[in-house]
Amino acid sequence: MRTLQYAVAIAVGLSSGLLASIAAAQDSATLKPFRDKSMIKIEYKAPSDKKLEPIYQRLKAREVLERLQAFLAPLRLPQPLNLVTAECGGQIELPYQPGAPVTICYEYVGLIEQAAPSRLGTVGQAVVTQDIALVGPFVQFSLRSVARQLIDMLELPVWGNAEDAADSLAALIMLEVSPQIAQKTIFGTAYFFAKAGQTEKLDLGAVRPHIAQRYFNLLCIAVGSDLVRYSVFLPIDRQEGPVDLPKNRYGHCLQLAAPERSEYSQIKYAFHQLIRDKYVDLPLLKQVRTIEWLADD
Amino acid sequence: MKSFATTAIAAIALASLAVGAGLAQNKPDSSSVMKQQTPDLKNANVVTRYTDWKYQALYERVKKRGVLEEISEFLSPLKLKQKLIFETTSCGVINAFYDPTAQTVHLCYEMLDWIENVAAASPDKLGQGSASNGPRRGLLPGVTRAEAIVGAIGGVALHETGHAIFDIQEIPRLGREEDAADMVAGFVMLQFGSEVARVMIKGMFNMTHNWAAETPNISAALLADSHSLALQRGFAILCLAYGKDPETFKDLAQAWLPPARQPSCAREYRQAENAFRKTILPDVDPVLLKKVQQMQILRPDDSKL
Repeated sequence: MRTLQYAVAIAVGLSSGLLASIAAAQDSATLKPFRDKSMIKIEYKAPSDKKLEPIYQRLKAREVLERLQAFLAPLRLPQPLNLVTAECGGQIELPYQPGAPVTICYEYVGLIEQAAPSRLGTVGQAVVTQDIALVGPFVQFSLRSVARQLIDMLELPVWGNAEDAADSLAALIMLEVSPQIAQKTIFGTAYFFAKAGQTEKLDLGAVRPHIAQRYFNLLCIAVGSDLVRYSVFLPIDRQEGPVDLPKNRYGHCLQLAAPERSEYSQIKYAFHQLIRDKYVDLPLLKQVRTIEWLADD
Repeated sequence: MKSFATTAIAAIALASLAVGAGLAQNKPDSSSVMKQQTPDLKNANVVTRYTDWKYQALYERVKKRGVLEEISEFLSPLKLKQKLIFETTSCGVINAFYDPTAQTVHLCYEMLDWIENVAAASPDKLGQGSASNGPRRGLLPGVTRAEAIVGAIGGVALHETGHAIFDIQEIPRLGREEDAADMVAGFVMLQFGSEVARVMIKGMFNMTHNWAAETPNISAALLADSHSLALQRGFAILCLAYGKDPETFKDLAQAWLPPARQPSCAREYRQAENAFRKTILPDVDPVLLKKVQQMQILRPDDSKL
């Protein structure tokens, strides 16, 4: 599924000019037919904090929400879903409320930009460029936030933690776009999660797992989808590092003897059963896939 | 929701209670439980077997109680797509697990033994220093030995049964597998009355507290584990209970559940209820369900052990 290339392009638009040509690949005229059919309603809310103004302006100039709106057009929903960018009063994320607009906080975008390397960074053995470090977590956050609202809107049956479910759905979509896009978003998200995990306090009572747990869950799904591509996160024939997927976990992730039991296969099966087959306009999705979202990728 | 869970899982819980009673008293008395069994309630797709002789006393108590037969009985309303085997066995480690390749739930004697001799033991008898900052092993204040045994064994059995049902019934899981199985266990515990529910929840929470005490240092390996951290699991199950019945579980929530978690508990319970209704209930035989529902789940003496 190449549709997420679009979302990646959206996030890439955040990067100050690095991939401006990619973002420009989807002009307004191309996107309009998709936006017209989309059940996503969008709004940029101007921040009162002047420090957030540049982020607000960048997102708006890059038409980030318009792109998300078009990207999500194949979703057939019982009611519109509101997607906004907003100042969140200093919080990086608003507490989840069913039925509330999906909100991308300027503060969260700021945090992503702050965590990104000036040129190159590493997460374990993996090298991450600045644009990857910007693209990945933005795409992940956008998709997981939409997924979390959809769980309640569509009354999806969720056994387990709904926050994990949203993360897993986001990871699956990221992985299903194309190997290149998957690698970019997975590596970028992994970089951000690893950075943020260094400072996030462990709160055992919180609904959402600690970001370190989310980091390992992400990697688990990724290696299950493509062992070779993500083997850089596995301590095979070398000493285990702090951001490697530990041996006690990755066997479960790979399920080499029965790959259909991997966490990747499990979330893919659930997605097909509960979402794709019921709430996705497949012909429209096919059209979305025809667009060259990342021209130089 | 009068559901299969109300009974089928109650059945498992009953089985667990039977084991628990036996463990707690060390004098198994199967008569009170066995009399309640209904011969026509049997799931033809459930196979039971007691194996291993290393834990002779446990083996005999569990078998005499007919614990596995009761599990079959309690699962009778569920139209299983394939055979499911329940087995008590020695595993060499403290564990219980579902093997999807053999479609077998293994209830290890080592786990039962650990519950009896650690989780349900007096903290003072476990040789741990009082200066310890982390969770202490043994009974939490306010939890009886009987509750600790009954709730823990019931919780483990229900958790593994959850895995089995997911696999055999091909139920899609959007959440993580282990959390999903915990949610099945917690949801079922709450379906057969407040008295039983309190026993089960207290015992299950006590067990997760003991797991936490066994692993005081939260390493990367623990954070990466396919299971959530022990106390996360305990809080999630207690939250389900508080979400379903705030009055019944108010005291436990005040004692154990972080205040910041409590507002989301009603929503979390509704989520479990919705998942059950949409993924498991369609395969439940309503006639058999009614029969199982007519069974007496807990006897008054069970909670006083």
